[in-house]
Amino acid sequence: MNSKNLINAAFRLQKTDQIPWVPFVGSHGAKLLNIGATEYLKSEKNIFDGVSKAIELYQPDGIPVMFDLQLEAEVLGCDLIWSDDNPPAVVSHVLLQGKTLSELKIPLANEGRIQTVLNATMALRKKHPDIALYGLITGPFTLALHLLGTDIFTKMMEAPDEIIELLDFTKEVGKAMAGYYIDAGCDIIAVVDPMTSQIDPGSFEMYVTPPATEVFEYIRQKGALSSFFVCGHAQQNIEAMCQCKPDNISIDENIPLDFVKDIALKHKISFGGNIKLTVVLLMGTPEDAQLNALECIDLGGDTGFILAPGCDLPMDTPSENIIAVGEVARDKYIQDVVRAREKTEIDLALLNMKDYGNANRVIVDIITLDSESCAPCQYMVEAVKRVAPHFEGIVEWREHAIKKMEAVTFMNSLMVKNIPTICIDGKIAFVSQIPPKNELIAAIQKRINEKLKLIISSHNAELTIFGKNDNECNLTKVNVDQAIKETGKNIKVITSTDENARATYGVTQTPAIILTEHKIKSQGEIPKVEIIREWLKEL
Amino acid sequence: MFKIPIYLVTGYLGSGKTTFIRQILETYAGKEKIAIIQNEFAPANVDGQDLKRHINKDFELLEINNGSVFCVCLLSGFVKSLKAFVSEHKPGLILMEASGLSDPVSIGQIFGSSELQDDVFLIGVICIIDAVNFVKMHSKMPQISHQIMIADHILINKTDLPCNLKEIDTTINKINPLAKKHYTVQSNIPCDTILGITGSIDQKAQKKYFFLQGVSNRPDIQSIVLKTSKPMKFDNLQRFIRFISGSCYRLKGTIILDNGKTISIQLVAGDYRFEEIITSSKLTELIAIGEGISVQYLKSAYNEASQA
Repeated sequence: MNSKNLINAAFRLQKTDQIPWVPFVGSHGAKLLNIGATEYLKSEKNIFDGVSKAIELYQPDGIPVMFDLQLEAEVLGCDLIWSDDNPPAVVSHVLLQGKTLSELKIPLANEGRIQTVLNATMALRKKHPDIALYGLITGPFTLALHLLGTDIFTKMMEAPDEIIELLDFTKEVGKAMAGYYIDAGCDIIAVVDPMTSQIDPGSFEMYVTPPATEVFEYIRQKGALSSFFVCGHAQQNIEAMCQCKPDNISIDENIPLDFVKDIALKHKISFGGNIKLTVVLLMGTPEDAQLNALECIDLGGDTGFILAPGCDLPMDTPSENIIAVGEVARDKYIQDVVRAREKTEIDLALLNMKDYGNANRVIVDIITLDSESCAPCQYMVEAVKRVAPHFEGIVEWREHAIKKMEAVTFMNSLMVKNIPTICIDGKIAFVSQIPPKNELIAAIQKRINEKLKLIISSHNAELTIFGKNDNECNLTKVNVDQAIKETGKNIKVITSTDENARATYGVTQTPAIILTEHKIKSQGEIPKVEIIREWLKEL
Repeated sequence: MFKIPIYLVTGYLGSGKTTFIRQILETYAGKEKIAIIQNEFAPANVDGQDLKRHINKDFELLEINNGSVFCVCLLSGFVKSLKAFVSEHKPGLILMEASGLSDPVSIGQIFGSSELQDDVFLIGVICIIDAVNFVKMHSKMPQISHQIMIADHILINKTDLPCNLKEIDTTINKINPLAKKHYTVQSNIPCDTILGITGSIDQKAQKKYFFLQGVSNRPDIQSIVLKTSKPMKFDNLQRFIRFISGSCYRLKGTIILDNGKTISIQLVAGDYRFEEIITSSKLTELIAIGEGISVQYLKSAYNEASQA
């Protein structure tokens, strides 16, 4: 399935074996050519070169020809201020400068930069027949705002008929622009109406629904597909957007993707967008980008979802981040790798505590917010400090203030949920309550005793080498060590040149070896004499 | 290297943001190094010129794109210019007048990004509302509620004109019952009541961070934003708050809960309050201010609290 067919299938809610990927390359194309946004957006050759470069680098299934929501406003007479780092901005509103609505004419295909972008579209169509080309038109509400300025909001309340009339005009502009793009070879017309996020569903239905519905119907009649783009907090209008009957809706990170998915699929409309623009794509790493893209893919699913950023890619977005998203979209293996990486990251976040507490000393950990600013934490630390001298050299205590990330990791690893908490050798001992001195001492002493027992039982045999001198001991020990190693036994080896000690075992010649076996015969009770006698018979 | 605190001044078109900033400048410009950032959705920096014309004192002004910046994606160039601006002028305090149509949380998120977090932090959000138009506008313009939702201070402005203060109060209480409300005429308010981090529950903050008390010993403070659609388990809420109060000196915003409710939350130096609110938003949006914190930190604490 080629890219265009993949997009078509997703738009028609057919299951796809690959997630279609559409990077919204606008003035970012200028960065790919190392030129400014102004020089880029005014030249059909630069647009052609920039988009071609983006296609080569990002291997998209679809791509917009241009992302500039000021184009129609400029042709209609609004002044723009140009910038080298951004698309231009509208700085004057033609309907506030003496012109009336009746004086405004529907722009022609050869007017201003419309011609520029249409030429670029035709050239791109020819060079990339298999990629879905998106023609972006300014949505009726956003264009109306450009023409009238923010007065539109007050007039919506005070003179609704004027606004209805204005949107009737911007709708006609939208239809004309859609027609031009379709004739020039675009497959999909995106009606980009970010400013609708500013209004409530009631106003949306009154002012936006009629013109938008008509534009989408027109696109359908012309045989193309349509998408309704919005950005910002527009969750209140998603239902109303679907009711305008576009083939797709596209949103940014401000609306949860699963929320949009549920509404869109209910209306049998495909959906997309949602990759985080600034914090991930612009400022994050390729790993961040892949992880976020995968989250979108997993939420969006394989039926009707188009993977795309939330809006126009910021110009300076690092290419490696966009390339990384494309890889994740295309390659199921990379998706698995990213999933695994995410899992390892979570696993790494927990320390391996299996052997924690097996050191010679007893470790007392106090998990606090910060003993300087949290009173209960301070008392808990003081309680430990007070008893510490009783166990000098045997007990070591530390505070972990979870202000620091490593302390958070430590806390999670010990499964500590409450603050403050005292852990003794990695086990939760006191939670939230400050232990009285004797209780704390008893708890630590108990642990010391357990440890002693452990140390003894872990060496269940002792082997003593008696030698004339160190040299003789060491020569013997080489063979002993080898044998212990081979058998894997846990045996404590002692060497001695002490003649008196040797004599107690009745040993007269060196080197000599005495093997002593320890057996735990009972614990936690006083055994009866009879029983002990039976044990002794075994010797 | 100290970080520069930024107050975000939000409010719908015509609510009195520029007038408010002018008041601050009248009081402090020339005495303190104040800088202003403007991002107004208005014809060619009318507001900026207006400020420069009215204020006869020294202050620095950064204007963003001078036009219709209506989407956060268009703010990306802002990161670069803000970085250059602070390194050139080294102001002691910045007031940013956000466009009436902009989303303050997204702007806050940019301040907390890795590229800016060593230079600036968001210290507080001041929202100005137009008492005359508020009641009829707010239900039609969701952004107004959104701006109110994350404000520390709300200036109910133009109270000298005919307005229904009772209804305004009731409406604001439904959206953000925790912000400090002030009733003003011409955005006029004694500056020191507002340029602390918050009002009544925040004496310690006033002392510690109030910008007029010198900027040389500012601790390593950061502001970060967490946005997520994951609901938090209600049972874990208090634990989450206790957990993060160790490092987050301030936390505010909204949290969506697994019981379908949304709460407004404010935490200041260990004291916290939360109340249920009414909103169409489906996102948890939190702004945290603290020492040595990171998005990762807040996110892992939040995720932990979202699970059983």
